[in-house]
Amino acid sequence: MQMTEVQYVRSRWFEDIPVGEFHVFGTHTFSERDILDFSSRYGSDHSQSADIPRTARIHRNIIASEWHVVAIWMRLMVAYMNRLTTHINDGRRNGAGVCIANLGWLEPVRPGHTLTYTYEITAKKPKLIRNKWSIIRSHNEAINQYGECVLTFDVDILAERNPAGLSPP
Amino acid sequence: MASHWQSFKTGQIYTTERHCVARADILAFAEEFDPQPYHLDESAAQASIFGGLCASGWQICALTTRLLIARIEREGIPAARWLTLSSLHWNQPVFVDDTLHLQFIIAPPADVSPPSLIAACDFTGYNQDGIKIMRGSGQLIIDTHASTHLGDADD
Repeated sequence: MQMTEVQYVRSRWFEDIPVGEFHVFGTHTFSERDILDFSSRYGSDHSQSADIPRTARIHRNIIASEWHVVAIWMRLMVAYMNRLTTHINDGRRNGAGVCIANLGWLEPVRPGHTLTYTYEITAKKPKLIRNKWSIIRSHNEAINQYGECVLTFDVDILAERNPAGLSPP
Repeated sequence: MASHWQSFKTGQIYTTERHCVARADILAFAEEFDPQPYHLDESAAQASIFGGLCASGWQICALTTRLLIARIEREGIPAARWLTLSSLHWNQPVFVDDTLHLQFIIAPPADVSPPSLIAACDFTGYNQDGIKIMRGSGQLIIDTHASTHLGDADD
């Protein structure tokens, strides 16, 4: 049998993901270089010629762009999902994010800060989407080295249903 | 400054500049922050739920936020960043060479505590075909000191 390259990030079946499950899935330390680099490429301070982003005037210091803090969440999540599911060899796969809610950037993230990212499965919506997917809702947080919650949001993501439990279309 | 802020028309629909999302930009963001095959590989993307190579939703968030802030700055309002987003939906994927813009409205600031204030903002993103690709609602934090002293970091 020919080996084929993995064409998706594996996950568990929708049916096998329990509400209440809690994961500490990664940590990341933000360097000043990374913060300024993300800000210049993807942030909203592009009109500034100075090295210090405009947001520094509010917070009296350099702070990470709001989407930088979330982009690191994504990177850690993909790495974690790949580790979590290394034993899964069949066709189940993760779907796409559908929506987010209650997103808040509660405290600034400064150079040298280390965030610990967590998620908890909070709800499952069994309604069938495209005869293949259903929605998993999780609550996500990032906690800094002082124990402060700096980022919080809920996200709905599609998870593939176990075909064995579905009626033929 | 307050005078700048008051000139910003509450309830008016504003439109951002347009931005074309290049393949290289999609790949660069995905490789660094969202390395899932449907953001990195054409054939994997075609076999995925999206049906084609598409940008990370987070890249679209950052990109559209940049367009939004730039448009607000054109009104003389030194908007800084999002503080919260109570909701955000990705309605359609953003494919290679799609050209995006946002339409948005802003409500009066609810919390005036210099040097910053908070304003509610609702927005909808469209591609070049006028198809809605995202919508959301949140709070922007506005830097009231920077408006007339953009070069002065010691205010």
